[in-house]
Amino acid sequence: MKQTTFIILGALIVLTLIGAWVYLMFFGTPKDPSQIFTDLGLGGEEESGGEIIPPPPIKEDPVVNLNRPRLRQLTTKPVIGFIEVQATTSDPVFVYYAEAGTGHVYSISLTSGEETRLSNTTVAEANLASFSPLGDAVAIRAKNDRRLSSLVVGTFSGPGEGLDIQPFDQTVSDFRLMSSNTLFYSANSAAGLSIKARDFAKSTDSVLFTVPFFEAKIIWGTSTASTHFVYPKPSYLLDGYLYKYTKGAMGRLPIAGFGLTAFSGAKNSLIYTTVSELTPRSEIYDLTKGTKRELAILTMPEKCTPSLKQADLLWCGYEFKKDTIGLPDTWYRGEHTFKDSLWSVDLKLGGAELLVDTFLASGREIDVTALQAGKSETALYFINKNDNTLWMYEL
Amino acid sequence: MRYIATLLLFSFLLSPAAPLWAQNLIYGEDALAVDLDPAYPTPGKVYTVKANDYALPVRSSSLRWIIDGKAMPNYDNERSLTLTAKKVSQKTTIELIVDLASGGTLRATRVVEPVYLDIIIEPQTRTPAFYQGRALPSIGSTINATALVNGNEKSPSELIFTWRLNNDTLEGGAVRGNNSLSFVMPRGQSATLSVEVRKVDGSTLTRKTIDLRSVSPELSFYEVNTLYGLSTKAISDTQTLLGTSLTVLAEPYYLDLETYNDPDFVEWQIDNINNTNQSGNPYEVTIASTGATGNSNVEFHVRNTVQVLQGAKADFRLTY
Repeated sequence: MKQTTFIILGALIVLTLIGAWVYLMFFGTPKDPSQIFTDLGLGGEEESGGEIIPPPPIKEDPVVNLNRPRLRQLTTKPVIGFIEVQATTSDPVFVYYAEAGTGHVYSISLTSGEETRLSNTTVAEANLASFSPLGDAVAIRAKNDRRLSSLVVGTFSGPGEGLDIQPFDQTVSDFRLMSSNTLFYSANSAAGLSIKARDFAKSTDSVLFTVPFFEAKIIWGTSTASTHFVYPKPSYLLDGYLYKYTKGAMGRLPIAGFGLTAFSGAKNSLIYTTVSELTPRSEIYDLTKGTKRELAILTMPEKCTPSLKQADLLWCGYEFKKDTIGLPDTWYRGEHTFKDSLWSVDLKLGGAELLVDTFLASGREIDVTALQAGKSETALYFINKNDNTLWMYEL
Repeated sequence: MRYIATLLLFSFLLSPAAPLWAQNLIYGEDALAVDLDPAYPTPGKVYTVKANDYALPVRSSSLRWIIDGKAMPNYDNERSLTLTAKKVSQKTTIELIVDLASGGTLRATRVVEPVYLDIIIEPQTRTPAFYQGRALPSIGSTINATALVNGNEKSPSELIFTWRLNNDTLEGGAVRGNNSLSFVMPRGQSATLSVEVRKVDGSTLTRKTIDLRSVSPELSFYEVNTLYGLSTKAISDTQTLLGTSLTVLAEPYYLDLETYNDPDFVEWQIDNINNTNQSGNPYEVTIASTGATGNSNVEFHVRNTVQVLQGAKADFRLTY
């Protein structure tokens, strides 16, 4: 080969390589990962038929169970009372509830979601139920046109055997079932509201104390020997005063005000709300020290429950509202509703922390009432006052 | 005997109390007093103590205070001081000593015994069983009032109660042990109720006055479900009729119970036409669907024709 030919061929190869380099420099950059790096088609056109191997899946445990949101509705029926039941810590958790209107009692397995009817004995126009703490008995209030009403008390005979329901022989204005053997109740007497304890085992009544007026709200103690608290039913236009009863003796606590509502906090304290100059305010009162501290949110007995495991913890349903005139009366009348969120309140510092915005989490307007914590305190349960359905929130 | 009497008189005149007795005799018992604001402090409350010497016809040179037997030099010549009331029934003795410019002293003493006096108001007006609040007074309604001293720690039978309503004395005057009574809410937006509590020795233990606001009876409507019973959520302006019929209960809040139980006038109207109530409860109506679509005005009216302010009227829109 001539030297000239050899140089020309060499120059052509060099020019071709330079041309390829220039092309790749300006047109060869892939626009997205689906383009094949070696696609040298004009304008970066895609070549069909290329196989992309997906990366191997990384197996991870889901952080949130998407099928069972933490905030969820347990019933579609209206509920008048409920309790979380768990025989032992290793057993499945159930929720027992009584249905409004019929008094039928159901259980819901929180593991499987299965609902079972425990009692089909109808209690006409049932409107309030109180379960014993162990869930082995229930007291159901029936129709009442006046403030005194008839009551039935049922005990669960055994698994799958339903309720053994007996009518209660007294008309009552308020009641709480403390165990399958003990019912606390109030009944009118000539001297005022008589607070009694019925021992079902002995079929005896004992008078715990007598309130010298009739329109009373009772903060029940845990036993016949413990201290109970009483205040007149609240109204924003009437003064309320807080009294304690220890061994039958009445004493006055330094808590008073318009619209007074109160309930027990954990660890020897009371939480109360009063209305002053049309502005409500909530405080915690230390029964041992006699000191008071303001809380960050407004509390209502029906919307709050204390933790029994953590001394300074309170859970509440709460919505901030500017217009609070007429509360709590208008809420009790069912004319004023709240769009509550769930909060945890630090009773030591008075601050509050948002647990869940129920409207964002569920898309439903939830007006929390009858808030309770389960015994294990892994969940909160409450009734939505708008439709009386039962809800839970996993803590 | 005459010698003994002379000796006693002589001893008294030489005693330290004699000049004070003499001054008080000259200027009168009311010339110097210790005033409190509020007049009857409750336990733990801050109150103001004021020297009242305006009736003293001579000038004083200095004031001194003695609290529970202890001289309080910090408060010398102060005309008022602020104290905190002790616990229930723990007494505080306040002495005021005034040195007169002309020589001599005057003393006034006040014993503060903090007590709680609560007046529980229980209007006998209508509220439904599910309502967790207290009924409110309306004009012409009966009201029960109960006075509790220290949460009833002090037995009412040991005390004398005088009740007043708008300055009219009730129950004919002071009555021993009468810590509760009933009265009719007078006309007007509010009424003033006061009670004065005296010990059996006649001294005033405490006194309290409250303003009672009266409200007009107000109607709320609630749906009654055949299966589940009464809804506790009030019907707002509009209610939809779903299914074949709708049963509605009218609740006349704060209507006097006598009027509620035996109303002179009670009426349901649908689109201004009287509805013949088929149910036994005059406060309940059942509206059946005719299959048509549209809306109607449902109105309820209850009234006492003698005491016409005892009544309420309201309506809501029913869509179907």
